[in-house]
Amino acid sequence: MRYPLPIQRLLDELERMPGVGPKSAQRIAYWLLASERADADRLAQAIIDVKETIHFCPQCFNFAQDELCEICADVRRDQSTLCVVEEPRDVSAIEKTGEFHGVYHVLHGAISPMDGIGPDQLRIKELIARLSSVEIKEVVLATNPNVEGESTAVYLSRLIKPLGGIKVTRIASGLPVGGDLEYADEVTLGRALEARREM
Amino acid sequence: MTFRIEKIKLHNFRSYKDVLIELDSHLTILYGPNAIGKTNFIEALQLVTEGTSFRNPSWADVVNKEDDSTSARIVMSASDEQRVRDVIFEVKSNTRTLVVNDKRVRSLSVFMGVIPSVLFTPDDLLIVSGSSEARRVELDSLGSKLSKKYFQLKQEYKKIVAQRNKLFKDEEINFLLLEVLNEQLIEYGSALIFQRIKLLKRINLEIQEAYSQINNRESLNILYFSNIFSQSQEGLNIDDEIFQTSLIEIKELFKKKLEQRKNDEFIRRISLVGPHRDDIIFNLDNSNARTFASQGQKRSITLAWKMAEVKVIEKISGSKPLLLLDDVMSELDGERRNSLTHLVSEVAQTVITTANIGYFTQDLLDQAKVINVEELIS
Repeated sequence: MRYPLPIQRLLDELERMPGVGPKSAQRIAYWLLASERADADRLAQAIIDVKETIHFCPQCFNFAQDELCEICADVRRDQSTLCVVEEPRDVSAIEKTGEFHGVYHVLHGAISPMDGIGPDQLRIKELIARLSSVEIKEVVLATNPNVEGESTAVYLSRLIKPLGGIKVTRIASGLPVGGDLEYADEVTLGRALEARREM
Repeated sequence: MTFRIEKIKLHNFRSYKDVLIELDSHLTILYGPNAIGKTNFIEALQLVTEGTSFRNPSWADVVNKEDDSTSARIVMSASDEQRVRDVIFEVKSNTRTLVVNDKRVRSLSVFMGVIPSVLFTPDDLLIVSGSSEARRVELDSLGSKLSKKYFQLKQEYKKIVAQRNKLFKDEEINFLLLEVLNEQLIEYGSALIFQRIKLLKRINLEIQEAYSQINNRESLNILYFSNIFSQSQEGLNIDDEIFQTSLIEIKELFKKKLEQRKNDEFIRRISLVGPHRDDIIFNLDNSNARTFASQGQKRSITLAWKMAEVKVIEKISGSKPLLLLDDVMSELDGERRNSLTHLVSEVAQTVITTANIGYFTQDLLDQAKVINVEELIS
């Protein structure tokens, strides 16, 4: 079936979104067509606003609305403990735990030469500059526990250690809380055993 | 402990629109002319037991496109005395999903191995005469069925080699990053070598026995070649004391060899050291079967390897595998066919495809449920 051009344009744009295939795009488009003019305007305005007002925090490269992001601007946070993550969504994940009171640094990816991402494509230079300009006591490497995340963590630790006086730690990986040991897969269980701690 | 498949339903899968096949709990023989889709059925069985296909298709290719459908589906029910296992394999817009007992499977490593299967197709004759890669793939696919750790190690190591090779292509190589990747290469590569040695020792025990059942005038054993141990492509007996090394010693050897070949790697700009260059040598009466064995001997070796796989799976996992034989009877002569027939009695369940029912003894036909594929699809 052929759609009128404006609808086709909308479908094309929607289909470019992650996780949206032809069927979902069609569903959203029909919903938009049926909705009130004011609803559609609000959505359009929200998209424009987010593009106009949100930028990367010049300190941690998380999303920010003001000059600095909320976390970097918060004086109650421990500015001497820095947690390095791959993506902004990882900041949200760690924030939800309520266990971390320091500040963040978002790399925007992990090292993967295969995908054309080397250290220069990430916010690594900025991280090193930040470490030498502010007093930082500990860097927590919270990149993903997969091969690329591990390479990135090891690479960063090699860069940071020669700077001296900074403790470098890596988040532990292992068993999920609330799970039974017998159902854990061998790899997870193996990792958890490797990183066991004294009680 | 051993699951048996009761039925399998294919919907829009390859040549099938909609077809239901009820399997015998012991032996099912599917016969029909060539190009009617017998192998598609074997592939479907492999997909719902292992999650992968020996044809390595891009997922869009398995969808029957006759009436513009965009999805394919395989539904399988299996059970043992106490448990049921219902598997749905689905391909939709080029992605695959697996559902077991109504729950979506997130990682292939937890899916494979529950119903271990051993597949034998005419292409498997390349295990002996083909490239070293064919042998590594065969070994790793067995290892993956037996241990999640093995599967993940294999995947991760492959990725590190690819990352490292890509880095070598850079005009200005970041040496710190290379150092980091070297460490990972050694870490994961050594663990993979360690696992392969363990597995090959088990296979070696079984393959000697299996081969003597097929032909007791010759003896077969396995040599392993890994370039961290030696430079000679000939390999060493897997029971040699050099392979008694601990994981830590393997890492040391790996590190040394990597250092030694550093210059070669820089000149050729590719990863030269590690298990991605491993080989397995079939040593038949003290000569390399790849170059010296006759066609018949190569077939016997492949058959012995499959028999060994069955034994190793049974001994390590405690459950008997599903045996899938795709059109292999025609490749074997009488004596070897008898050995294969004997193997059928040792596994949990067997599915055989053939274009000629005449290859089977009356005894075997009496035990089997025989299905004419032409009748099934008409």
